[in-house]
Amino acid sequence: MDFDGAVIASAIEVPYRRKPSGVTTMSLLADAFAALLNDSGLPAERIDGLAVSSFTLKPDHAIDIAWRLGLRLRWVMEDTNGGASGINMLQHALRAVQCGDATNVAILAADHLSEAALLHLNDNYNAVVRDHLAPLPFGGPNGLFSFVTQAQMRRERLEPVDYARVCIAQREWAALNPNAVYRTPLSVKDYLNAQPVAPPLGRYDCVPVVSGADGLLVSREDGRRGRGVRVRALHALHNYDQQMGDGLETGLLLVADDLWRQAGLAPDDMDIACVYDDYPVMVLAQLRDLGLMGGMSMKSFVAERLSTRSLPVNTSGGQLSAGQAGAAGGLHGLVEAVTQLRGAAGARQVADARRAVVSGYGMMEYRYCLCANAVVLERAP
Amino acid sequence: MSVAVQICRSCRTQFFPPRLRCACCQACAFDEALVRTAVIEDITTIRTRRPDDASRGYLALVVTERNLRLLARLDRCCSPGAQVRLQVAADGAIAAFAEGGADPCGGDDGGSPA
Repeated sequence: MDFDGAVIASAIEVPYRRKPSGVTTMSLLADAFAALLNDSGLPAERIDGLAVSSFTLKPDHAIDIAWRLGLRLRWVMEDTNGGASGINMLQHALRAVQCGDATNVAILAADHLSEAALLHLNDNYNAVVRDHLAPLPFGGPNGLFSFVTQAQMRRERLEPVDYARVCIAQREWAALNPNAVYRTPLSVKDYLNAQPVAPPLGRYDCVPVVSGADGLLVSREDGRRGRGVRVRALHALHNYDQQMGDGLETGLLLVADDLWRQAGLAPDDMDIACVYDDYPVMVLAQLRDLGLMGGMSMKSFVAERLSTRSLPVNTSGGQLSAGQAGAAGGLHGLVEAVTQLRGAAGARQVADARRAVVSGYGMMEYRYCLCANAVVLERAP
Repeated sequence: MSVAVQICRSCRTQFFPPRLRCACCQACAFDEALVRTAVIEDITTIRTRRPDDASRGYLALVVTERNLRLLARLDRCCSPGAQVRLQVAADGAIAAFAEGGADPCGGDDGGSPA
């Protein structure tokens, strides 16, 4: 089933900040909602659907946000799937609009994580983490992705300099994004000399934690309103290997053919890719699983396509340079891709960007994450 | 105390952490097996971020004889391939103890073992 009749009408980001004062998750959600209304030109009364994702919303839920925002809703959902939550919410919102359950769905994600809140989240992410990883201790997801990185280095014959190139390329994009928290140039020497975090992972392999929010508006397609972005395909596969593999693949590997078939497009047709970048290892895993490396080795792809930025990947700077605002990270790539397709990306605008692929990845279990999804977007003619 | 893992009563696949149903055959009945040894596949150094504890420790990905991968706290730096003895510590963590051999990190707790 295609996605005709529903479009992404608006995309916004509340600028990410490191340790801001006077900010709460609730205030960030309110700011994101206001920005969506401002960007779309819709009055709040026209919003009849709401989807929310946040790690720090408790004890509130999406409906509590609706009450605080004064919304009367025909459709409401909350998503708890972290780095996959953005595309998950989009998947549900598109169908709700297509089926007539709602006309204008605001998708919001935000987090303001204090140091204490981050530590608590890392150790209490789920029961497996709380009971089997936190007592080790395991250093949060850094420890787990150190092992995934080491396995990928062996299998793909990668060296630290290859991961440096991933981070440097994203930093070069970030230098063009006024809202990225890290914009200063990064060199291979900086990367290799960085403070170790969980070797081989160092400081620049890990996302800077920020406070911020992202938002999308999914609306019934309306020929009178331009600048919309259409969804050509969307697929998800969660817990695809039952945590019995090595974490080097994601569920995207098994749905990529269906994704491109539904889109009627091929990886080479993409002008931009925004993949969930909690760690460089997963940037490469998702790009490979989606088929964007073609027949190239991972090492050659990094050197020839990613490092040169001939394939624009994570053009906001990604979470590695723009920052990770908790669950908002699940929307960050979507918002960036839509911004690019609307021609609104400023200095980092990819010329004549018409199509983009965005992927989500998240929800750490015992050794790596469970959730994966991807969407192919196209600028409306 | 050795590490207790699940064994599916139907297909004999082993699991840790425990499941509600077998991920391979969907059976619901499990036996328990004790795992006492494993081999280190990879190792890293973890720096805790707790305000009251700035210590570092070694974290290992270990593989059991039945190819089950476990995460374990390691008592000292070891090389991949080293055999370790597994125990469940009082705090519930899986602890791995290296069996003989020299410390490849030279006892430098702050060094990178990877």
